[in-house]
Amino acid sequence: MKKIVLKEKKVSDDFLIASFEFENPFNDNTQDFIKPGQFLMLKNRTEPILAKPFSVLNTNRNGFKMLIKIIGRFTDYLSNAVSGETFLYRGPYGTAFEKKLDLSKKIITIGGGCGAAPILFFNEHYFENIEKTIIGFKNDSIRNLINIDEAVYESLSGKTVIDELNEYLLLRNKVGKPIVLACGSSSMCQELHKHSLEMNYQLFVSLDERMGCGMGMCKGCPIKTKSGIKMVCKDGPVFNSDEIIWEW
Amino acid sequence: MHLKNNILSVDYKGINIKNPIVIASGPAGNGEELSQTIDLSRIGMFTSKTVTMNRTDGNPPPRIVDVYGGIINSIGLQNPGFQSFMTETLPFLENLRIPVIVSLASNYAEELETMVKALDTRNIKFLEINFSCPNVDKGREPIGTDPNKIFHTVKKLKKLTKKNILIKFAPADAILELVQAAISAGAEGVVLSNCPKGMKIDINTMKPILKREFGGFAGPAIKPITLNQVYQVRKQFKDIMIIGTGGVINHEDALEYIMAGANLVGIGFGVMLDPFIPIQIIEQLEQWFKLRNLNYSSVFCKAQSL
Repeated sequence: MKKIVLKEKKVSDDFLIASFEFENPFNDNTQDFIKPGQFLMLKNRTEPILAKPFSVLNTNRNGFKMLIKIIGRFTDYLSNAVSGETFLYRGPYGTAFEKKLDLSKKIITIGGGCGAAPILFFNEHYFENIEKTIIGFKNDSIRNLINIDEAVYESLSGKTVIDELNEYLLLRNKVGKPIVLACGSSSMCQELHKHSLEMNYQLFVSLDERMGCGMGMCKGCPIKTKSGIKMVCKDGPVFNSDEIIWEW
Repeated sequence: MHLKNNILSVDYKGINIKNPIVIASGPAGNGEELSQTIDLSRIGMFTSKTVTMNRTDGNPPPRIVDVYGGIINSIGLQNPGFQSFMTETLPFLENLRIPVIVSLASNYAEELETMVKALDTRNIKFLEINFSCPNVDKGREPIGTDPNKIFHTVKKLKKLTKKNILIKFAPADAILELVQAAISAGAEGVVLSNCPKGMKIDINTMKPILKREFGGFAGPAIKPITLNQVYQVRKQFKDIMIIGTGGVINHEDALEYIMAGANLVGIGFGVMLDPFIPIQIIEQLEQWFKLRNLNYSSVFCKAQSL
């Protein structure tokens, strides 16, 4: 695996934003080394904890930034790491959003929690394609880390991202069936799927599943689809929600 | 056993194995993805993902849970079935230019016989009969915990093939009895060990995290157990082929297995942890031997008081 150095991090109760720099930056095109929808597998150097998948929030000439939910042993470790510590990464893995979406059309993007990262990264790359963006958080502690213009906070408004999307769609005055790209928890994605059937929009969901290898070989992150069992890491993480068989 | 070695190579009945590092069955799939990351022709041997007669969808997620010192996995032998394996996957494995082990599982002796027979003419060197997957429960009682069933099943399989047969067992107190049954029936060796069963409970929901309650415990935490299985079996069976596997993530782990009496060392969890690990171990082993002016055969079985 390749080395990256933690340059800077900000930590709140639930989330952290970490900036990494490549130990050996690419010669050129560093900024384009990963596409929106793809992810990197990160691990620390010593402990035998499987590498974990993370989307980038953005990239720059020397490295990348991530928005991470503190949820397990690795993210706990990362939240306590000091600047200058070396980590390991491999990838990018996964199918880019652009491979599954029709980019001749406008897209509504939805991010829930740390699912905001790939959505904001997608928005940055394809700003001309964005019809509307809703980024939802349970509470507003994230504001200590980052200012997201499109953010809504359930603790303040009492509304979920689905409520917000619903309001937008009811007032929407545009031709053509809405297309929604969403990234968030599997419960959010599943709720959105039900909502997409009620409100008649096309939904693509970028799924978050516990992964093993991250590259399709270990069969650790399955999703049941109409065309058989697929791997979230390799065949996804983005899927047309109509293809998914949610009950397994 | 006739072993002829340079620093790392192992010669088994005329099969040249470049080094003792074997990709174990499971975590590396059938090598298609791994071959895009590392040069598989540098590995000693490659083991296919376990094949079943019919397509197996595997278990619902979550399939992998982190625990201290490793993971609990509950993949459930997901594979497209034997016919698909023969046409879609085996040609790729036959062209790897390293000896290949095809891993097979069934609780039905007849299915194993069909698969073993069909593989006899193909370019593979070993068959691994996986009698010990912790993550499937379809079919009859498992063959792999009953010495009598093991003996009769392996005896039938040996009549159907010229390939070397290795039996994969999970750690067991009665391992010597199980191995005895396999070897007396004609098996060339054993793979020790498959994952012992383990579980994890979510203290918030107060329920097991895995839908099947338990799964296979893999990773460095199990190495003392599996290493001891290798050691105890080697003590009793001087001439059989043993692939030692369980928690190998560096060359020191591999050396322990070789010193305990493993001819070859399998890597499973390690490939998931970091797909570059097999190559790193081969390079580290070579360096370790060179620095000490030793080679594979000068450490093999050295922990045994033979």
